[in-house]
Amino acid sequence: MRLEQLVIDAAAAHPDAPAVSGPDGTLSYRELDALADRIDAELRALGVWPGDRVAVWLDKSAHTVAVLQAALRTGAAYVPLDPLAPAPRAAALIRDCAPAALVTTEERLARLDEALPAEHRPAVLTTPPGGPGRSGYGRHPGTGNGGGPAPQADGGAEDLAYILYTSGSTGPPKGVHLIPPGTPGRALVDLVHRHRLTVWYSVPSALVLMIEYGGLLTRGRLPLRAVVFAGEVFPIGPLRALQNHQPDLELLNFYGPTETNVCAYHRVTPLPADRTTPVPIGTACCGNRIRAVRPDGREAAVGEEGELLVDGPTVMAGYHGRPPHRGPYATGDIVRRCADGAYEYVGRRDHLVKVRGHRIGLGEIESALLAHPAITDAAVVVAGEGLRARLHAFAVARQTAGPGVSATDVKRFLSERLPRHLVVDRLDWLDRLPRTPNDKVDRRQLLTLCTPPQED
Amino acid sequence: MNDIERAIHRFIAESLLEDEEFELTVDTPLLEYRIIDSLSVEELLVHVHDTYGVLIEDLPPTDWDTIGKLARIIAARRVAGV
Repeated sequence: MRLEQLVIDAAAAHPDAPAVSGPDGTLSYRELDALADRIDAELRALGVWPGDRVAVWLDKSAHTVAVLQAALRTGAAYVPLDPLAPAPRAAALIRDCAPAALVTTEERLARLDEALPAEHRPAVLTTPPGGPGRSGYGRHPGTGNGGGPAPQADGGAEDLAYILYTSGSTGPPKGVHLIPPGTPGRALVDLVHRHRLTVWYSVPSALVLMIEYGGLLTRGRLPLRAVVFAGEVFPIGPLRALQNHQPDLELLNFYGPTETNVCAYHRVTPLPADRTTPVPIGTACCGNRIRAVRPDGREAAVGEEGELLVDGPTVMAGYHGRPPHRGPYATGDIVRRCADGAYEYVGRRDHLVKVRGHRIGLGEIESALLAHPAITDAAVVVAGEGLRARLHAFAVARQTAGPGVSATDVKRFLSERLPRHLVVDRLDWLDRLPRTPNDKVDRRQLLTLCTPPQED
Repeated sequence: MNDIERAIHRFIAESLLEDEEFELTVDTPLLEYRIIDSLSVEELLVHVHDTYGVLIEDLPPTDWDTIGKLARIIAARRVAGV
């Protein structure tokens, strides 16, 4: 079974059912299928072959879903680029993944002009403005050497479906978030009621935002029958409030890094008022096998902790540009094995931190800061918790740089080099970074310098 | 800057960024450069609603992600009474 076959089958089974709804309108399965076919033909005409990559730099919309379907139908893997990414960042990713084609808007293509030299310019399909039923695609032949490897006969089940970028260069990918950054909590709650949504799936921070700022629990009964959350720990307080508001609402905790996709789940049971620990990540799903391995290599017994290993059909094919991944994937997550066979999340084995559902390597941000011509030393700490967690950078300015560098300039610099979730929230200049006696950056002291985030 | 742009600029600089040394023009992309995050967006939109009686939550973030764009929408919607 190939991924794109699901929509083709659904279009045959119930053509008039709504398939996807976005800010640009709604597409039925028949319309989605027809539009995907049309864009598929456009992409083939531009020279896209099975095994190629198709970069997609578009706002999230019903039409964009059709573009992703079309890319799959050509047999290529799609590479979604953050619609809010600055042009230099988009250009860097395009150079890295060497797509056979890029699908974007005329306006974004114009912005790429300076950032992407002709020898890296793939063929481009520009989308017409307007609703999903729009017409008038623009074909621009490529001037670069993208595409490949060699065309294969016909796509099998093992072909690559997508490549996700989440780190500065070719590092570990991280899941795409469907909620546009900056969408207010109240707008999300409006969305639930207006469309009578029955299933919700997001990171817990979005739900906390909706509870705290959007009045999710003060506007009566929700049309939802299930709320699925994943990506980070759901603080027990707001989760209990959600359960108390509507006890028959099904609450599901999904677990799985991008490298494995969802590989475990837990159905939340009634939460006692005195429970303080987060809900478990649960047991294996999607045909996977999960186990916890202790530092000595033995499998963890009940009550013991170990690193979670995942083996099964949803584990990634590998990191782009590196050898294929084989065998079980070690998540780096430490879990505890419970008596009932479920697992509880304990923490990370490395220094990755999670901010608003994103895995963050502070070292990667620090390296990018150090690449700024006016910065000689830098450190990043996470201040605050949950929704109010902030990436706070401290930097030392080059003496000769003068007073000209502003925090805005540094943010622009970072946003052109890193995914947006790695761009720091705050930046303070110091004469020098505080150090411990053995000359490491004193992060504890830096934390005391962080201004506490505003409380309401 | 016109009056609305100046007022929005002041709110972002003083209330959201707490006078941190940011240089903001009417064209600085607030979301693209991550000048403000989701929580600050909440506060900004609540402020716009309280001050001008204008709701902009139905528009995609790319329509109001600079001070200039935001001010134009506020001006247009105040006239239209949206």
